[in-house]
Amino acid sequence: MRELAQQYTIVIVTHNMQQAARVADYTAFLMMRSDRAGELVEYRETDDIFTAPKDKRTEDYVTGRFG
Amino acid sequence: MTRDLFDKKLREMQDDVLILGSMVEKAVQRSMDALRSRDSAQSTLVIQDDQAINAKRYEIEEKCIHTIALQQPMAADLRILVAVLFIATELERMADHAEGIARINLMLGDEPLPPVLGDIGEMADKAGDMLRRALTAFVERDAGAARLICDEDDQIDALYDSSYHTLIQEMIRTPADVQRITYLIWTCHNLERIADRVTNICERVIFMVTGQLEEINVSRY
Repeated sequence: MRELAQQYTIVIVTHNMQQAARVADYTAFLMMRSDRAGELVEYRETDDIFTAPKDKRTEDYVTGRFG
Repeated sequence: MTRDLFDKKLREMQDDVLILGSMVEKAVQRSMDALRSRDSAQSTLVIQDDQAINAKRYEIEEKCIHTIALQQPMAADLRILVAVLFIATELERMADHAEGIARINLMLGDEPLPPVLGDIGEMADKAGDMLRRALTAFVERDAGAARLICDEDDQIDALYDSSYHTLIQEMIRTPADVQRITYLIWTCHNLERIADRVTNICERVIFMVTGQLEEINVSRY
C-alpha cells in the first residue's frame, strides 16, 4: 500500500484504527448523526489525529470511549 | 465499548506518581535536614530508602508498558501514559540528587558545617515547593500553573549564582575550609538540578494537557 501510495492517492474507509494510524498520511474522522450520515468531524495529519485531536468526539472515538 | 478498566488503571498510575513524588519530596527534605543538623544516621536512611524509590519507579514503568501494550491508548490517554513514564524517571533522578546530598553529609564526617552556607536553605525550600506544586499541576491537568513553575527556575538559578559566589569568596577568605565549602557547592548543584527536573516534569504536564512538546525554560547550568 505504501508502495502504491508513491504514485496514487489512496482513500481507505476503515474502522480499524491501527490500520489508519499505520498507513495513512492524513486521517478524516466521520460519524453518523441522527439527522445526517457521514458528518466530517475532523481531518488532520494522522499523527495529530491519534496523539492530539482537536474535537472531543474524535478524542472519544480514538481513545475507545465509544465505537 | 467502555473503558472503565483502562480509566481505573490510569487513575492508579496517577496515584503511583503521587506516591513516588511524596517519597522523593521526603528524601530531599530529609537529606537537607540531616545536613543542617549533621545527622549521619538520617543521611544513611536517605541512602537506604533510595532503593524503595528506584523500585517504585520501575513498578510504574512496568505498569505503563503493560497498559500501552494491552490497551493501545491513543490521544490524551497516550499522552498521560507517556507523561507518567517521563515524570517517574525525573522523580527517580531527583531522589538520586537527594542521595547525593546525603552522601555529602557523610563525607563531611565529624567536621561541623562551615559558618557561611550561602542560600542553600532557601534553594532547598524553593525546590521542594516547586516540586509539590508541579505534582499538583499534574493531578489537576493545569498547564498554566506548570508554565509558571518553569519560570521560577530562574529564581533557583539566581540563588545558585549568589551561593556560588558567596562560597567561592569564603574559600578565598578561609583556605583551610576549601574542602568543606566544596561539599556545599556540590549540595547547591544537586538542589539546582532538582529544580531543573521539576521544570522537566512541568514540560510533561504541558504536553499531557496540550499535546505540545516544548522546552519552556532552559537552565543556565
